[in-house]
Amino acid sequence: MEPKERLTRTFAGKTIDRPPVLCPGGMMAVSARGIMARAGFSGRDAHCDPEKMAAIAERIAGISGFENVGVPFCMTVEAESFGARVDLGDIEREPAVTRYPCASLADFARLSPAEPEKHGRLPVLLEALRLLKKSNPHLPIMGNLVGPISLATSLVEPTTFFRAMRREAGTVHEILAFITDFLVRLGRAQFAAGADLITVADPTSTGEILGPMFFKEFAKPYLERLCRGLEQGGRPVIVHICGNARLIAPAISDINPLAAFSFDSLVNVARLKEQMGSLVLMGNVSTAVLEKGSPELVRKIARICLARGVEILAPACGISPATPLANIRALTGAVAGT
Amino acid sequence: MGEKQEILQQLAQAVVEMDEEAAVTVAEQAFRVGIDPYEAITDGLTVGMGIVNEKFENEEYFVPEILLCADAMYAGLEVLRPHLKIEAASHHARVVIGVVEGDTHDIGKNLVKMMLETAALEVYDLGRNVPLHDFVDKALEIDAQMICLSTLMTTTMDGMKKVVDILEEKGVRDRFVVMVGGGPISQTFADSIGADGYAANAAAAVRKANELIENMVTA
Repeated sequence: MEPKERLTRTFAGKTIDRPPVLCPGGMMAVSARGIMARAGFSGRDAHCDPEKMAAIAERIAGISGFENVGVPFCMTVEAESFGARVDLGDIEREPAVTRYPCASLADFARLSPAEPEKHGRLPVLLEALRLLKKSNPHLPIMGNLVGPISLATSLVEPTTFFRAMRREAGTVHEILAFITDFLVRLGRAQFAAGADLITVADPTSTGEILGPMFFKEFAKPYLERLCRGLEQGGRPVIVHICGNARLIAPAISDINPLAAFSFDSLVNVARLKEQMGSLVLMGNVSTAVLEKGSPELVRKIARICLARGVEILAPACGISPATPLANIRALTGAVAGT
Repeated sequence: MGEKQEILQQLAQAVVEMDEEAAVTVAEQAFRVGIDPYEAITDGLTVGMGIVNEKFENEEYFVPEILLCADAMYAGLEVLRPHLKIEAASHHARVVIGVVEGDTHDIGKNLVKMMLETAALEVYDLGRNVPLHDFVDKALEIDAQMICLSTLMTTTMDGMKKVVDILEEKGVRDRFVVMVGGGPISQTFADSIGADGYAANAAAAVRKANELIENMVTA
């Protein structure tokens, strides 16, 4: 079975020969330095040059055994397109926002919506997707988006935004609607450029920060609005949220349409399975085990995840640069190897 | 209940209810009726923050609530602090805190910092993405008792070990207790790098900090 067909059948709940193994881009890009060095990653041009971005994404898939290509390699393209200052980092450090464009919630009113074909590195991302579409017919191409709350808290100091959830709920809703509508446009542009599916990573909306009540009020409606907005074309959208998903699982299982939910290693899969019903689960091989464990242990953990109900095997979160290549291959080899 | 008890309780309540204005009004009242400002802080505001801690651990309060409770506490503190007698304020332990180099996520660190301040520790915040040597330099400069290291990323965990190593190299390891925390950090990791303590969340961090500093003083 070809990786694309296998993945499509997995989302549709049809029979497959074995589970797919994926690694999204964004914060979950395969940033292990052993792989990045081999793939020709040389720092900033991997983030700024579409040809390099596409070529590196393809080489990463070849070296690692992951059954998809994913771009970009950071979670900063969206914030940067709204004027956030970004430090592009190096092979050890992923790009990070170093200055927020908004000092207060009122400043959001001054932001003009970023345009996918025009602002910051968004055109780089879209061009990389077009190049991948041309050169890469057999692996699924994964586009990536930062979730609404994670993007909002990349544009203003997060604690300012969290306080406002209680004090200025109306303004918070307006901001999230504005941001979500931008993400819908960027996601559609990614689909149009060639993405076969999109992963939305929303680490800051974790239930451990917001709690179940605020997740339901401020995170869920906009994740749903985003998924709905991307629905045309029928291409799948995966949502990844870090931390313990126990408290927010009921709200997530309610999001429609959602192709799969990707989650962290501290989540009890069997229990989540009960809470999520028929939603496809993706994850959740511990990144600590990937970094420090033996290939044997990685294979064992991967099999445990699958036995407990994970349907798409994937790292639980962003991979450490120190992760040995042998461990990544053990992860992908746990399903694809023999 | 006496007037004093009632006022102390109202101070705690203002914090728990995230009511900044009430915290200021009641703190002013406390001063007016002659309650010792130190007592108003420790038996009023800090008691309130203790309740907030419990609510956080019981998953009743989350980060937005904690931030607003702390705002109320700081508002009350600002009224009372200028009236503190010097001796009462001067023997607080000093703590250096920051997010290790390579990581710019500082929500967790900010929460821990706030909680430590509410427990009357003197906190020097180095911010985020902090060069590893800065932790040691600052701790030596201000003669701190404790160094708190935070990271949310697996990619930057090794920086914590390097800070401990720098302390060893300089022969000053014994002068400080080192506490680590953040998403990927565990007790096992803390033990493996030779840190003195680990805390899973901001509430636990306060307890652990007090315990570590107390052991250090009595050792």
